[in-house]
Amino acid sequence: MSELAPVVHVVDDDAAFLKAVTRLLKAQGYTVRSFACATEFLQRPGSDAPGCVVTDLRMPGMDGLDLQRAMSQRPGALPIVFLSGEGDIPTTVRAMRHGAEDFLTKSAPKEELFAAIDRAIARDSRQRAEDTQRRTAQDLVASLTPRERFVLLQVIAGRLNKQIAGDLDVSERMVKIHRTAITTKLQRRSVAELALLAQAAGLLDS
Amino acid sequence: VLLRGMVFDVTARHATDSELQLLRSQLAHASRVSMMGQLASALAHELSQPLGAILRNTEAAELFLQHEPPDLEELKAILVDIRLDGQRAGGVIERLRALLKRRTFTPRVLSLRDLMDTVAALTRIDASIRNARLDIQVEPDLSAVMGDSVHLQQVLLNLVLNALDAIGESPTDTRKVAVLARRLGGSNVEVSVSDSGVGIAPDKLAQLFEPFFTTKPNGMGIGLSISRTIIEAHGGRIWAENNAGGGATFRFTLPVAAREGSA
Repeated sequence: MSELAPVVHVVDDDAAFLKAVTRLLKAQGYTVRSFACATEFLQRPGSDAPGCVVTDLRMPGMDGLDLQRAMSQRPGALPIVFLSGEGDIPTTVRAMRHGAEDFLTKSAPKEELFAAIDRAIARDSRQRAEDTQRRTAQDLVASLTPRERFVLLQVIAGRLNKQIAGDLDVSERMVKIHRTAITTKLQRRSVAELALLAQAAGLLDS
Repeated sequence: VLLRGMVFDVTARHATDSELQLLRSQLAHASRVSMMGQLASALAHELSQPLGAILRNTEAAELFLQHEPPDLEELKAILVDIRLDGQRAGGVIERLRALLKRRTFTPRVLSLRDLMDTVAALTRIDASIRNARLDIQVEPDLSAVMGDSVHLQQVLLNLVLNALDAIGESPTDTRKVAVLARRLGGSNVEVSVSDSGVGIAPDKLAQLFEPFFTTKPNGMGIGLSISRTIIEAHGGRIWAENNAGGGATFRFTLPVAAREGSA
């Protein structure tokens, strides 16, 4: 996944502005996809590439805040950088509260625009890396039997084989066999590594 | 000059008026404020698109120029787009101008007393909110003038509201705006609006009527420049001066209606 180039999705109903921003971002070296409206953007073919959305706030039909709402209801939502003709404070606050990466005026210097896009892409890449890590960890943990999972949690909690054997009413040798199965399935050797994996999988959350 | 004026305290005069009239004034006030706000907001949005596009295209062109060799076809296309957006921004301004012009200029003989009464009614709320006294004096038997009542009403309204804004910081008992209409020598009438505020910095007096010049934190700097355009279209003059005893006075002149001027 990480080998995919980040994509900047630009959404603006104003054809001239859309063309100009697309041109500028391409000249700077970004991979850009342009969309004339929010609906067109939402209907794009799915992709695993990291990226962000640069959108006009005020558009006929579905506006920038509507788009933000629609995206937040789907998995893998991209961070949004809003561009606005006039920065009115209530709208800005609303957008930021719902996780907008940035809020710029349409005539903000290009350096600010690039910086906001880079921040948004970095956030998305980080988010994707965490998601991938979590999914991998969850897949590994899912391969454990319920008993192995119990033993794993006990081991992480720092309990001795003898204590675990007592809890389960099995021999200490049986616990050792479980532990070997766990380290093989999870591909982790030390207790510290097992703890990190369990945390990544969300096993320690509850 | 011997002036036999009439003073009527607007607040007192209207104290017994029905609530309906109060409501009407409030509506008039609200629509004045919101119209200006809407106009400014629409203008900002309409202009931000082409201006933003021009800026982005220029920045893109600068980046393309750094490429070796520069993509001349792309640069030509960018220049075409910049020209189109420049024309588009000009078109927005042109449409706005046409919109403002739509109300045609219809001069007719009109009485300044009637004009003052309308403005007094429209600004009554503003004056009472500020605990200000609004004195309106019209010289008895003042000649009628030739003009467009709606346009002149706009000028007078603007001056009175500015004056009320200017006295906002003064102690309550000295908050006063005085409007006076009187005959000047020759065939002119002069209207003055004086306030008891802090006055105007002498170096700003000349710029006051320039478009987009404002001393108010949220002002657009449009009112006085439009006022000047209107007064000059009527063949009059408008200017501002500081009062000897503090505050400022705005004055404008209007020629008296022809049949009275020659009488």
